[in-house]
Amino acid sequence: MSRHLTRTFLLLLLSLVALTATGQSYRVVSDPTGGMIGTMVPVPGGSFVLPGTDRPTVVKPFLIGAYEVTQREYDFIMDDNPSYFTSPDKSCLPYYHGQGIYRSNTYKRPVESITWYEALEYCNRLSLHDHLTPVYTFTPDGVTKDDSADGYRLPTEAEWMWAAMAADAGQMERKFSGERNIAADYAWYRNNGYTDRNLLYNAVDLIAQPDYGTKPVGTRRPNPLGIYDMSGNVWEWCEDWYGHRTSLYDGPSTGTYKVAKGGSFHSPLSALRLDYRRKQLPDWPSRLIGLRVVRSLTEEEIQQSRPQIATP
Amino acid sequence: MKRLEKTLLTLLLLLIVPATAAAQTDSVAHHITRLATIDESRFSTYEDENTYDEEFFADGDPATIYYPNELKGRVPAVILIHGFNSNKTRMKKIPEQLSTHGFIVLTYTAADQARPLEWPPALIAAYQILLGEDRRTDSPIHGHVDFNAVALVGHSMGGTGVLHAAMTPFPNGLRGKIKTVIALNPYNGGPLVAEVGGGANDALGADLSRLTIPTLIVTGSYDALAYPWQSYDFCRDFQGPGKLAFISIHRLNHTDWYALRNEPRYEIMRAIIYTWLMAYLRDDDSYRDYYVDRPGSAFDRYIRPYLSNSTSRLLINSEEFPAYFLTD
Repeated sequence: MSRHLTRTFLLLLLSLVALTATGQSYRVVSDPTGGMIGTMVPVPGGSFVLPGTDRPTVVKPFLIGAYEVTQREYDFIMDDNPSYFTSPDKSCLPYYHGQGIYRSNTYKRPVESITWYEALEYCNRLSLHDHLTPVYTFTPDGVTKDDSADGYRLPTEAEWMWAAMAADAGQMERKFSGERNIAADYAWYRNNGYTDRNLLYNAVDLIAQPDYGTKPVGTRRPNPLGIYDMSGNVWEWCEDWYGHRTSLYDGPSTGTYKVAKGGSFHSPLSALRLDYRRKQLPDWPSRLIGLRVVRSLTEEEIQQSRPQIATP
Repeated sequence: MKRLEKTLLTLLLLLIVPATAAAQTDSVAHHITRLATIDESRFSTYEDENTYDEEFFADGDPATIYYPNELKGRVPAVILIHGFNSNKTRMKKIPEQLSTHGFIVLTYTAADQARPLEWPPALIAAYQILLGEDRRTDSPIHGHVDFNAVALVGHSMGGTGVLHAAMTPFPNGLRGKIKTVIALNPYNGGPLVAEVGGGANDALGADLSRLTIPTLIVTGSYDALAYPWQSYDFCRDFQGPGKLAFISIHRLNHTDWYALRNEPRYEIMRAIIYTWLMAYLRDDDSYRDYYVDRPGSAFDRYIRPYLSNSTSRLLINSEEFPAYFLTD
């Protein structure tokens, strides 16, 4: 009996130690109401060749949000929730006398309908909230970035892809971010966004399926690094300008559109490919685009976190 | 002798009257043909990854942009969308004609075509493409789109979609960004077979009371898919202050004007679209006469002869609707 108890106790202790070693999570928002608390996942450094380029792009170790930023997190920091898929939502169809459709668990759904600039502003305010140095400075000519700042920011396209492929360059060709070959296990996208879309052509439409839209984050499987919804649910804003890819860490220096990655609940499977990217005007919000934050690691943090995020 | 003279005179009159009438008809037809002219040497087209939207355009099929070869300054632009179970090439003579006459036209194939309510989000995406192509420095239309003069033109369910997109504010529409809207055979329910496939427009409805811009609705007296009297329902709540024109083309069916090989009444359809856009998008006052119901007006001479509300015998249980209805 006593031996059994000792064994159980030792197992529990081991589990705790293992969790501490591998499940290191970084607080994003400490929400006093005790709802969603975002976590961050360490991504090891590495290098891979971006499609269309001829040289490897080196990615330094960084932290990435395990989830897309939720409406609750965004509202908590920005005191505003511009999302379309709130409750009631903003559809305002005449069929419902101009009222929106009531939706469940909207606070757990990803924030969307934000411009690229608003995404940056969120990162800055979140940094201040967590006593970090904001990365972005807004100027009349645009936005400048302080690479030495330790605050939250948007991922570059290279970082996003590296995290989506679970820091494994061999995963570049994958059709979505996940381990097995069943997209619906890992992503909310067009085929499972409508659970029974148009079986008889007439059976389903947005009224019959009022829940068609974003889904609460983390309700599909995570990728091998423990990151949820990298594919599907909402597109995620990236820092890069949309243009000819270069091997530079943060993409082209100018452009018209910004890059968004990962696909949404409304995307065809082809848009979930890890090397696929969407273009979006930085001042044009979309109900299909949200964000996920990343944070560069300081040298000290890198040293502390080895070997978990060591560059191979 | 007198009798012979009288007979000769009568014969002469009989010859002259039809000849004059025929000459007048020829003149009207010639006028319409001239308005509907397409000159392929005067415009170009392009489509590439920059004009593609993976969420709202058909898989791998970017929008096509038609633009005049001689682009000077900013010019009016049109977003054209097809109807149910169709694609951007079916009505391509419309953008060809409009870009012949100086308009930039963007047309795309919609990914979602099952219900009228699926059209406005795609129109918003198309508007963003237009905005982006105007800003992109290496785009052929860079700096040439006049965003104070953008029109929506849609056919069938696309017609219903453009009416609502023009009326409804962002994020559900483009209210405030659209100067005029044209709905061709707009779908507001129809025969059972159509409603089984496409619903009855329940979600969007026919209430256009908040649509304030100049609006043209074109239907056909033989339209067996989007019944003309149901298209006319779109006019019932319209309050303006923009001009409203409802026009029913004699014997025009839902898609025959562009889908049949001989393209019956395609020219009058194109002439109507063109004159309306000249009047209410380009603000050329001389074209407003095409939409004034007055003896001797351009409407009276060139448009009205093509209109009627005589329905096909196949349209059983048809209801009343006017051949045309124009507000001042």
